[in-house]
Amino acid sequence: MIRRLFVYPDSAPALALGGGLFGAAAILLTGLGNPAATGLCASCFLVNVAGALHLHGKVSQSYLRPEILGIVLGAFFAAFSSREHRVRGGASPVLHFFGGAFLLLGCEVFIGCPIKALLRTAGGGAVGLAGLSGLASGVVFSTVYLRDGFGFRPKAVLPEAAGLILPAAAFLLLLAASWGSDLFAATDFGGGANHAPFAVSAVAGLFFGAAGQRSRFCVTGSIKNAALLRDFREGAGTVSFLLVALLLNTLLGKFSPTVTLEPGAHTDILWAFLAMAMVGFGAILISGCPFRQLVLAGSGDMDAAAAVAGMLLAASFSVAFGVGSSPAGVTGAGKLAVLAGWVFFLALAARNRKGGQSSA
Amino acid sequence: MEFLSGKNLTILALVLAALATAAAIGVAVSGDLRGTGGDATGPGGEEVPAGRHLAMAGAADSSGDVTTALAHYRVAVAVKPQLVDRRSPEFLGVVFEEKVKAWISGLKSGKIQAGPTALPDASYLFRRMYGGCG
Repeated sequence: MIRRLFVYPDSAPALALGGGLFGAAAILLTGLGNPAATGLCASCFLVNVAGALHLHGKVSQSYLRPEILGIVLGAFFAAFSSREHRVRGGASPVLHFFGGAFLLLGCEVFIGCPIKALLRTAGGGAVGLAGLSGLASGVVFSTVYLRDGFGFRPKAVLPEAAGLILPAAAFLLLLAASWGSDLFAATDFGGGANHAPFAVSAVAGLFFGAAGQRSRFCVTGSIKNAALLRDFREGAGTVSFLLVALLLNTLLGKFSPTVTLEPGAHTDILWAFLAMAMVGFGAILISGCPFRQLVLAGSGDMDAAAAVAGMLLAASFSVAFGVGSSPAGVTGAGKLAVLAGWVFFLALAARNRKGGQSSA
Repeated sequence: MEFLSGKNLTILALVLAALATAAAIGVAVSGDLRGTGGDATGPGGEEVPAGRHLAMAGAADSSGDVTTALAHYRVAVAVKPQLVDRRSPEFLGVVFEEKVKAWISGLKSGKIQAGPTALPDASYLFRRMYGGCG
């Protein structure tokens, strides 16, 4: 029973339990200091990590988020201990790199990854809900291509050592940060200064990574399986996440339905929808949302590792060129990035139909 | 979903590509990548330091001009977000925090009469003050 619930969760109740724990942990992290509705956000945290690594110069957005490092390590440990750590790749790493980059840019325009879209909705944000609706629309749109045979080349088995690089880097960074190294940029104010205690965040990250690897938790993937295969088991996890977060927010007095007073958000519903529709569409094409890419990368998927590298680079690009939105609104560069992302993913989808024999 | 196939998808891709090109031209012509429609300049369109905007906001507030006060507060905070960050020594304080809430409440209920930009500006201050990873 315990083995089926925690080691090989594949039933709807087990996945719902996992999703509920995810939601509770995310709300707990917000209560302990993470920014509002940002208990867990792969894209926001990657921007913070990029800043900490001096990949961009905005100090207020710099902090080596232990959650991100923990996710990679947790996924690695879970995959390794369940003998699922298989190093594979070669299914168009360049396209995964740019795909990951556009996912991150879309998230930055919306202000949050698909998981944060759930958290923003659970806080009562109408723009968050618009983003979540856009995400679902983008995923459903992608199923047209999936039905038409979209795919990359089959992944090849790669040397085992390649799969150890990212977890080793995450471990060393976590170690250095826990010793209080001043190698990393950090800030006393702004979003980067809002964080839960380091150890709590690291443990939560390990949990997110390990549980994400075992349960295949992925917001976009769960919508895809429901739309394409009529398989609602993973959807149970996503819905459970949303409901638990909603319940806890209500109990804590943090639920407030609003369009204009959502903390840290902008009010541009149209661009929130379009940006997250692009993220939903693209995430299915490259096999997962930003969180899932981190988990897959920790599990030995080198194409996902390329996507993570793309996301990290895009995080610095987003800050340097003003792509990311702010409470003031969506920038010109942000709108441009969303449209460019749509063009990129549509071209990718069109090119790789019928088995993707021509992919780079 | 039959309509989303073949020729229609090509048309959709072309429309999006055209929109992207138009947006790129728009950004290139304006030279304003970071513009969001009015968070960098004051009511008169001028660029002045946050401190001066704060002074002008205080003066407008004292004279009962809520619309102008909020417009200046908005620009001051856009230029220097630390002004609404509790951790910063430059934080405008709990009194200001409560004032923003009172403005929003008053503007929504109609107890405070002000121009059309007042409520969006007050809402912006609220969103800045209570969240964000930026």
